[in-house]
Amino acid sequence: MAYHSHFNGDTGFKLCCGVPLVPLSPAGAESGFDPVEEAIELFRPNSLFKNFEFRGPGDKLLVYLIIFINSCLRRLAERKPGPPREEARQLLYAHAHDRFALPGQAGFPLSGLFTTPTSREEEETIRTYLRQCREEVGRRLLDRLYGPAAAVPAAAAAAVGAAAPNKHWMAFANRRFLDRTM
Amino acid sequence: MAQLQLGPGPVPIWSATRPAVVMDCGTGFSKIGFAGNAEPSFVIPTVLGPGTPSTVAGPASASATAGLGGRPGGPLLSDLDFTIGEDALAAATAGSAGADLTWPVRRGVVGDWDAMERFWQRSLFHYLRVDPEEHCVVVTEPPLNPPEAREAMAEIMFETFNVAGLYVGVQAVLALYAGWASADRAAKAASAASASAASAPSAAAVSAHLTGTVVDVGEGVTHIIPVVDGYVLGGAIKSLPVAGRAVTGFVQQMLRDRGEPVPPEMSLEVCRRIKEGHCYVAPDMLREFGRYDRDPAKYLRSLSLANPRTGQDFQVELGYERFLAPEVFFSPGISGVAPPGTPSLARAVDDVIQACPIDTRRALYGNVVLSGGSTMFKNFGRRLAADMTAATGRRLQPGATAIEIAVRSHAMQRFAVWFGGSLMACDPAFGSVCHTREQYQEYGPSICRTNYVFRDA
Repeated sequence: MAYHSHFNGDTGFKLCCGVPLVPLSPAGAESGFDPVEEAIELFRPNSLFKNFEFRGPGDKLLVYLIIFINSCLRRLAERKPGPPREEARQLLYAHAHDRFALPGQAGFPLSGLFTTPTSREEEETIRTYLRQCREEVGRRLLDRLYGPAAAVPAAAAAAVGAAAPNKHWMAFANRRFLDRTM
Repeated sequence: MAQLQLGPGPVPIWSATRPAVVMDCGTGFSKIGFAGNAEPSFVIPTVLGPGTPSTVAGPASASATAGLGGRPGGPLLSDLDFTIGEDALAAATAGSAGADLTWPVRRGVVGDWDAMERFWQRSLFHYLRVDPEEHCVVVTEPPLNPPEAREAMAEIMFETFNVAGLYVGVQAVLALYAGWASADRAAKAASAASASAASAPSAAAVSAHLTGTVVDVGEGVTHIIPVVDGYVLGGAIKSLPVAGRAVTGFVQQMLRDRGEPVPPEMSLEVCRRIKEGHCYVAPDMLREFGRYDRDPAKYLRSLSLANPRTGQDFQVELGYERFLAPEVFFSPGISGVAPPGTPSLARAVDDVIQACPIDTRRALYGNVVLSGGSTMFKNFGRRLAADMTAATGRRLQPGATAIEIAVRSHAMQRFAVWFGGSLMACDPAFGSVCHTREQYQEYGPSICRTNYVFRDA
């Protein structure tokens, strides 16, 4: 039985295209519990399941982010052997800010689950929110794959530790969650 | 007690010099040995393979067809030129890639009687080295085995091997018998002061303990069998396709995803070794991922194995599959083998007990017995009990007494069915329930359709 989002119930967040706009924790040392953190936590267990039952709006955002994390890993896996940390950071940043499909457009992985934006400003809101989530995912995923950023970039030690992404995470690049890719 | 005429003077069916032979042939492994022992003498894979190839030097092929004066088997003797168990697997890997292995037992049920007969022949004559005419044989059958299968067993045993007696035991009941006897022995040791403990249990005492739910997790299939007073409630039996082979397959898939350098021909063997040596059941999947992140040095392991073909070592790193592989029992959604909608083990046990008569349910919850090699994972029993308690607790009305769930693990779990057969054959009442050769010659194979567990003389 897969794990579901905590933001499914009536949490008081504004809904946009059927997705709760939960404010993300500011970039810093401690990241509070937000949808990005939740998606990274639940990525590994949920990727193993073939079926997923959507219990609320939080689940939709969760699944979108899980599919996005999978696409990040696949982007990194294209480079064999795994890219070093700095290069990975750039790859993930570029991938997050790539042109991506919005709900209602062709190429959106969860069409049918997200409602199409009705007005121009709703479209703008969802685009900014998703882009912000994608960038946060890329940033925090880097820490998971390569370990926390070295405080003092000592040349030899940092280079050895951050040479290749964590292979246990990269193993999930081959799996396709719910058979959808981004 | 039935007496058997063998040579001068009456000889009882069971005696110390002629113990019964107990053979428990499952999908993956066969446990064969003598009654009275605590462990089977041989645990061999239930597989038939080609005989040793003729290119191998004389002594090796002579052993395969020993009865023919040491001549190697040729096309005329190919019927007799076969091996079983580990030798079969070795011969198959050493020989050509197209060597055929026959697995006579599929999902607990015998599919190929001809192969089964040859398997028994090899195990009786070459492994155990007994003369079947002098021994009783106890064989086991899976739940919901058709009576025709029992008759086929009887025909093979009495016609081909001419055994002195045959008893066909239901695997679940034997497992319960083993569980009860282990607990009873421990209780007797604890209360050694009370001298009134009789050595032979009365039928009533035995039947009260032969109530429970047996969770038999084998190699090919998992069975959940409720037994009440020694009778199996056939309508409530459930079988799940998730078993030892599914766990090994999961380990294999994860290693392949990670790109571990395992040579393909050794893949199954390596995965089996990892499963048996390093896997355990975690209380919660999500928290376990967290534990691995916080303390990787403690959980991630590295194995160094030798490849016999090239002679080189290769390193295999173990990661999440250590706890994810046995998780397929409790979250079958992660396994590629289980069809969608397969319930988790705890849910399946719950469903089975709910399908039983209402007055037996508390007793069934209170005595869940594990049997089979795939229940040997660390914390398996504890996790099953926790999941079942959660499932039943959700249904309780406020104010109702909580259902006491006890999952019993005992020392003999791995070979619980075999051990139960061994105990059954040592029981003094065994003579009255075992079918003798005389009865078979008089009445035919239909006598073996019913096998009593206990019978008041």
